[in-house]
Amino acid sequence: MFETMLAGFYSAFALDCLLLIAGGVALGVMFGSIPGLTASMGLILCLPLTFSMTPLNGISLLCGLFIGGISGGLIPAILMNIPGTPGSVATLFDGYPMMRKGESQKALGAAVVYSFLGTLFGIAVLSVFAPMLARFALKFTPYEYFAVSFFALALISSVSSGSMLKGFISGVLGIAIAMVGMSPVGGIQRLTGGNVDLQSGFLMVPFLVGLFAISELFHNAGAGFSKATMIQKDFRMRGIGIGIGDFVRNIRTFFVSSSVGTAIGILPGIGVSTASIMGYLAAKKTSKRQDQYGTGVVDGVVASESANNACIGGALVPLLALGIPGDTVASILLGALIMNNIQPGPLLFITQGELVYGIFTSLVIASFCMLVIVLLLMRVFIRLVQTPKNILMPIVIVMCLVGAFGVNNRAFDVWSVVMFGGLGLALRTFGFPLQPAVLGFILGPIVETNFYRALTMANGNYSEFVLRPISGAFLAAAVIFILLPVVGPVFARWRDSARPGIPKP
Amino acid sequence: MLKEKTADVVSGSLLLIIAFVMYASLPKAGETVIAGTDLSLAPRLVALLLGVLSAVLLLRGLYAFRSGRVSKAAERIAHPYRLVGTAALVVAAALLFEPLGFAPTAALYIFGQNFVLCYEPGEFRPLRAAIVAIVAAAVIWYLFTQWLSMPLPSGIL
Repeated sequence: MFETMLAGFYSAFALDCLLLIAGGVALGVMFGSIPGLTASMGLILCLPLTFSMTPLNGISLLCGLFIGGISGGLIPAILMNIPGTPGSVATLFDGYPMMRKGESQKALGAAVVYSFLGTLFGIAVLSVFAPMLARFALKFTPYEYFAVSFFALALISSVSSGSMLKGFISGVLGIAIAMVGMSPVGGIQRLTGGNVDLQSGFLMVPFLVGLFAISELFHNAGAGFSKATMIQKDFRMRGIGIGIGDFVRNIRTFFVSSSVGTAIGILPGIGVSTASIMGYLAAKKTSKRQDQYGTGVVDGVVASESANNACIGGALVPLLALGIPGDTVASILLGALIMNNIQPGPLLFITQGELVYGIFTSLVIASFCMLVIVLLLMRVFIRLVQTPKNILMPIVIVMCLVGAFGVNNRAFDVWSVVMFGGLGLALRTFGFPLQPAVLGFILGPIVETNFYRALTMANGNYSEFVLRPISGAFLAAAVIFILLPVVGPVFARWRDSARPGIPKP
Repeated sequence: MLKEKTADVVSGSLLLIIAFVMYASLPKAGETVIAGTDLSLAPRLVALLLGVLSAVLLLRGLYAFRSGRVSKAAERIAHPYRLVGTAALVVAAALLFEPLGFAPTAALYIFGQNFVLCYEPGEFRPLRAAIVAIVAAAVIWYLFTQWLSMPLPSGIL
């Protein structure tokens, strides 16, 4: 056992493997930082290159791309309010407000450091508990998937700032937009109006890019640049951006959101964007400063980046231990393994132990490479953001449009970006928060799919949802979270009026 | 300037119409039942929920009007012409993306957007904007088509 681990460790430290990991991370960061390009696109483009490599070299390159791609998304999220990848969507909730407050260096530093630590957390869980956790994840049926995702959806009020009613409306609007197209079960056309392009629904990249990037452009154009905001000059990067005090203060947040991120990663079919949002919500709900989340606190950035990177290790748990790919990236990794005649599954740890431990070591090396590369690149991006906005923004928008087009090579996605940009501006103008719409768009289809699957399994019997322990517990928690904002103030008013000596308002 | 209560009434009315259209365009209850499960149940519930929440928003806005409650201003659009110009440019870029091709569309869009976003008319430098537009369009085209092997519409080129 120990010799196998050592052999895997040594094979990952071969020069060609190290270079491939570093190259993969650099390329991944580039993919992540360009709005519209995603980590999975990078993996698909590089997959053919791995056919001529040894299994470990090929997987190491792809793992580097995966880690770099997820982490690279934090840069445009913080500096431009554009999620570089769907996984970095929760980073901009606090990252961009921090940038506007002149705390971009702290936001970037915290994001990179906790991305690194989050990745290591996920890898540690993967290395130690993979087979056990994979077996546990298999016990999750559509009832549990429905309950967990419904619970996350019930937290919509937590991500909204300002009016709770408008937050709920924004979330429901996000769910409604995700419902356009073919139904996930049964293949029934909904809300398409006979339009062929709408049959496959709206994709996540055009939705996010439009809602945030294009609406930001519209907003800036409408608000007008002043000489003070035309060129951002308050960027100074000292050290790694985050001080010891902030680092120590956020360790608890890191553990909460990394645990949630890893757990979401282990569950097949949920994905990194959900992990990021749920990690953020969990950290907010357990924080003493939860009312400050969304206004530009470093805790929010730490929560999102820890969760989305911890999800990487989690996503590899069912892949390596059971041969079940949890998301698109895991499917590509599975393809790469199968191309090399390696069948992932419970026996992989016994028959290909050296490879498995080589992959674990590659992941650790890739996280160190990511830390160094992103810290170096941050300075370049900070210089880039100092370009006058009238020059920078049109170029970013063109890249967003190309990225949206590149998902499926169809002009419809470019139109979707424009349409969602208009929607984003309308929501902002009328005072609706954008974050709940994202939550609704991401979680809506997961809730709906598993609702139908579970209902079909139960022959239409709704009681099954509450009778199963995990499902019942999550649904009960969801009901509490939905009712709390309504019942809470009423209860507080009743308590105050019942208490003698306190004057009634 | 748009007041919050006006914004609530306008957005509540619009959303109510959207919810009504959404509900009306969905199959009726029982029309899409497969294996005992109505597959249009979830979208109908979402449309209903959107309708109820929009109605509450509308009523809240109307109540604020009737009670004469002072509300804070909604987000202000200080430069409507610049916003309209930007929207027109983005729509034009999406429209010309395929027929004109990526590179010419991108170059024209970047140049035009640069002009629209300039905060003072005297600040716009046409030569610099043209160079930036052409170089950026060429670099992005090269990056995506040659390096990332992503086909982009060639259009007239």
